[in-house]
Amino acid sequence: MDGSLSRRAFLKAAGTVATASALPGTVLAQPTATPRTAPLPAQPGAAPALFLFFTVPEAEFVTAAVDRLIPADAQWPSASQAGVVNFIDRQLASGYGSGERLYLQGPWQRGMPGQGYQLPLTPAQLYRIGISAADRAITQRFDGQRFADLSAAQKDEALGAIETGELDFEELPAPVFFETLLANTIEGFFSDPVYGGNRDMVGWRMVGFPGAYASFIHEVDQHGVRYTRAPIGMGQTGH
Amino acid sequence: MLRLLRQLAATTLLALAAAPAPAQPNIANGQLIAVGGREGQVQTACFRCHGIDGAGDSSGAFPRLTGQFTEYTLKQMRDYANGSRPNDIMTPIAQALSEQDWLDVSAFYAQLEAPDLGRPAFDVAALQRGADLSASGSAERGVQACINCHGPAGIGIEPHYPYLAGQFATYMELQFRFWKEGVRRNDHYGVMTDIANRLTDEDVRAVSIYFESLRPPGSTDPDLRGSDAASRPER
Amino acid sequence: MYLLPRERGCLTARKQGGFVAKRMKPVDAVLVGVGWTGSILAKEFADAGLTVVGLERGGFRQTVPDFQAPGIHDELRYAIRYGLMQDTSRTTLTFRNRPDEQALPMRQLGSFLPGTGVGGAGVHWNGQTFRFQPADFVLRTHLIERYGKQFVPDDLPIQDWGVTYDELEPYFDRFEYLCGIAGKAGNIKGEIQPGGNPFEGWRSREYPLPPMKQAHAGALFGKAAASLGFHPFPVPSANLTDHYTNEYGLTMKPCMYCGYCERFGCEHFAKASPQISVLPAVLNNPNFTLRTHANVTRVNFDAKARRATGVTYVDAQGQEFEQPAEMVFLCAFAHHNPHLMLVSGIGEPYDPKTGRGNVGRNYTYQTMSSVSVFYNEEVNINPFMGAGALGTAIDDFNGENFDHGPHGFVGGAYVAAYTTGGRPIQHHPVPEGTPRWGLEWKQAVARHYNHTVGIGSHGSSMPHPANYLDLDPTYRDAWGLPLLRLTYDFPENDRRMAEFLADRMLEIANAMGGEQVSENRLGGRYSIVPYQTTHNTGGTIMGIDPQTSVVNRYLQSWDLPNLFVMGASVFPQNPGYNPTDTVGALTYWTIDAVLNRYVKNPGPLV
Repeated sequence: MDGSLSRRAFLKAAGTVATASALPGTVLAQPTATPRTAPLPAQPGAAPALFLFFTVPEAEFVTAAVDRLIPADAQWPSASQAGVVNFIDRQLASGYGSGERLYLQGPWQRGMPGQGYQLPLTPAQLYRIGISAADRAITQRFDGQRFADLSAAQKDEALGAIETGELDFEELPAPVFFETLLANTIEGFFSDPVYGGNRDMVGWRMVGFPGAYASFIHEVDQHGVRYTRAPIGMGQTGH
Repeated sequence: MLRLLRQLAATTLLALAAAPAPAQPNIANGQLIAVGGREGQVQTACFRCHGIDGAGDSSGAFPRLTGQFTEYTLKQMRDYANGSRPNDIMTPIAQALSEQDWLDVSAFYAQLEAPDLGRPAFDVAALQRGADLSASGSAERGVQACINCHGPAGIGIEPHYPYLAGQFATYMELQFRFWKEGVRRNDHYGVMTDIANRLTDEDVRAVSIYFESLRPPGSTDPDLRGSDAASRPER
Repeated sequence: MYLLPRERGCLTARKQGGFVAKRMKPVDAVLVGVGWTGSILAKEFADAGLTVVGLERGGFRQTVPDFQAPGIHDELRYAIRYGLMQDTSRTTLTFRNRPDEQALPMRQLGSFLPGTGVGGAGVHWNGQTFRFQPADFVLRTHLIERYGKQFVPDDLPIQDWGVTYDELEPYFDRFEYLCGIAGKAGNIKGEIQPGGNPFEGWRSREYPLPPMKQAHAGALFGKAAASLGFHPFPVPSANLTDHYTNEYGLTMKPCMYCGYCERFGCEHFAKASPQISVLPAVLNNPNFTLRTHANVTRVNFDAKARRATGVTYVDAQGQEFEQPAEMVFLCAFAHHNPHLMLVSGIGEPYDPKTGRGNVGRNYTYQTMSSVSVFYNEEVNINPFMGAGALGTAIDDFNGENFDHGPHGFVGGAYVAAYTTGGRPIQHHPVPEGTPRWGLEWKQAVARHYNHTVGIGSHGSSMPHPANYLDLDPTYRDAWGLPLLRLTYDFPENDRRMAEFLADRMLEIANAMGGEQVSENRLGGRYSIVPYQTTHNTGGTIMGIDPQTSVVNRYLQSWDLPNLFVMGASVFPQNPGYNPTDTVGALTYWTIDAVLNRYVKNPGPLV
């Protein structure tokens, strides 16, 4: 729900190619133990996640979905590997999930896109109903297969059909479910690790964001400097 | 500092064009300076006061240098030399060394480790006051939290904000006094001078012992674990 | 005049929900809202010996401990979940594009972000502190003089403000010196100053502090703009550049460029705000009482509807109170002041069918568009080294700085490259044509995050008869009051302006040396969903004619002369700048009139 349309608007654009002029980067703050842009070492020993909101089948659906929204690549982990499923689970179990700041008074009408979210559902309800509706619609379309069991290409096809509304849910507009899932996935990948996602600050390392501790008065006018300090999160308590 | 960084940057740019080596620290030279072993060296060896592992001492005059960020120590050497941080001992030493020497000796101490000998026991109420100031600042005094800039648990933020964890309280108290009296004037935009002017002596004491009570960066576990936490006197 | 007296306007305490409204001790002035305007009024009135009560619907919050890092540097909590802002579960507004459509509630924040709590939106603002132009205050007169009467479109109810730039200049100056604004003057007493904005109105002296350091993005933009013959300058900033003590003896501190201004409070005492620039100087004054969690539900007036008698508010326990006062000042956000007028039955509500009535008329906004320039990976932009007002701008295409004759529209915009912070939930630009998700998207985010510059045009908003505020017939807030109903779409004039500006921006973007440029032009209808700006204006507009305005040139109600309306809801239309400097100037302008004239001789100030 949050900001998804603005991202879409941002992407909508016409491109022209201009001449490149390179500013050579200089290096400031050589990396310490964990370089900011270094890939994450494999973590086979990560503790199993206990879910506060999702049922096991729901978690399987969400894991399969967010790992197509942000898949693993050679350098950086997938959304679920970064803890995004746990992030969404905890969000849904908290005030956000219960719609603590949503205006939830009727009467209810669908409205126009520019009028924003108009469903009588809290985010937690939206997921519960949306996952069930999505799984059912997908199972029908893909010959009885569950979403989590589809191939990567099939999952992308299914998610694309939910995104556009081509795959229709009876209970709610499929694109609203998709946009909420996408927004929450991006939140989970990039928010402070205290919320359960962005595990080991992989989202921050991937883009080079230094995190919650920030004072750049010395560097801001050193244009083009390559700033490599490892990120620091809010929950870090020392070494 | 900024000028030096710009010089370093310029050197790097030059490096791209003509491919000579950019300014890099020579740690071996840094070590030589630290032990006073360089041929013809006239200034005092660093280790005599700061220790060969940079651990310093609780006299207040000799801070811990072990694992301190190169850029921070380098700036202090420059500021000792240029008078913005005047000091009877350090100013002549810094002036006798070259800019490359500053870099080398700073980098030498930055990569050192020292055994963690523990911290003395401090008054708990004062520690709590210090912890509050560190994490939240003071509405009454109009002072922001220390950890904004000096990092979680005072571990510092590279490259400009030194670590305070495990630093000697006596040293930090002395620096607060220097800022307050206008002796030390090398903080950016007078941020520390402003803070020093707003805190009482009790505040300064509390926040200083709080940071000393934390495990410093560059610590290794001591060979005799826990045997000599009292090797520093209670203060 | 157009007053519609109602039972609820009577002085008598009445029963509601089983409780009898408790009558508080009368005071000289009651302030509805304690943000920028309420704080300044409180300080000035209390110092002048008036008794003042400030009623704030939200809670108390201050730099220490509420805004300290790292806790305040929480993008999810503050920027995405709106931790410092209006709680839409309690009150919101309804929205539609056109009067013949069904308005529906804005169920969560999006397009704009009003604050809640002491300091209001002055806590989470960016600090971009522009003055409006001399022509902006006399826009109708100016346009007719410069282009002829036929040039002003018939459907745009553009008006003069009733106050001139020259009259306001000392008050702009005072507000800027209150805040410690960091900038470079472009025009001191008519003399153009190198390095500043050569198009700005004259100012009596230099800014109190030197401008911010320039970020890489601003430097790239400024260089390209200058190469095209435009006039780049550093954005005037309420993120301070040094220690600074203002007229109230309050000291603020230099900005550390942490990149957490917009949507956050400042941990360093470095962003001018009511908390650090005003309130500490008045909170201990016995003449001033601050009541938090006090939600004002109506302005009361006497039986003959000749003067306001005070306000009614509800506290956190649901207890209703009546606060009698000699003067009432509406100091809430630009939506809430018109709302309070409407629910109190003060003035005639605007009716778009008949054109009658003024309360709710001339709601305006801001017309924004943007361009992104994508560089190769050698160009590090470091977007996280930021500050709310860290930017480089050009004013060549704003207001009356260029000849509109050939273009057929009114208004303009400044264009700027800001570096407000690189918080990655919100900031992860990718070029046009990139998928919205999946591997290609992820790799594009990693590739472009640190190598992209965004520039934006901050466009004016002209009034239109179909854009207005009134009360929603269906939906209600947590106190049982009808929600405000917003009817708004971008007028054709503003669309043409935005297109013109987008073309200019594209020229600059193409000169910035990137590999690729992506545009985000003003799209179709106005949408309440994506964030655009919190510069909502109009609804209780000022003017010299009671037939076409709600308040006079001293922000005094035409209907109830002891009622004053502060803030951006008095703007007859919205120029292409951020509003806070003008809001601050009008506040001091009103204070002058109240303390030096009204208090001595209460009555209409004309």
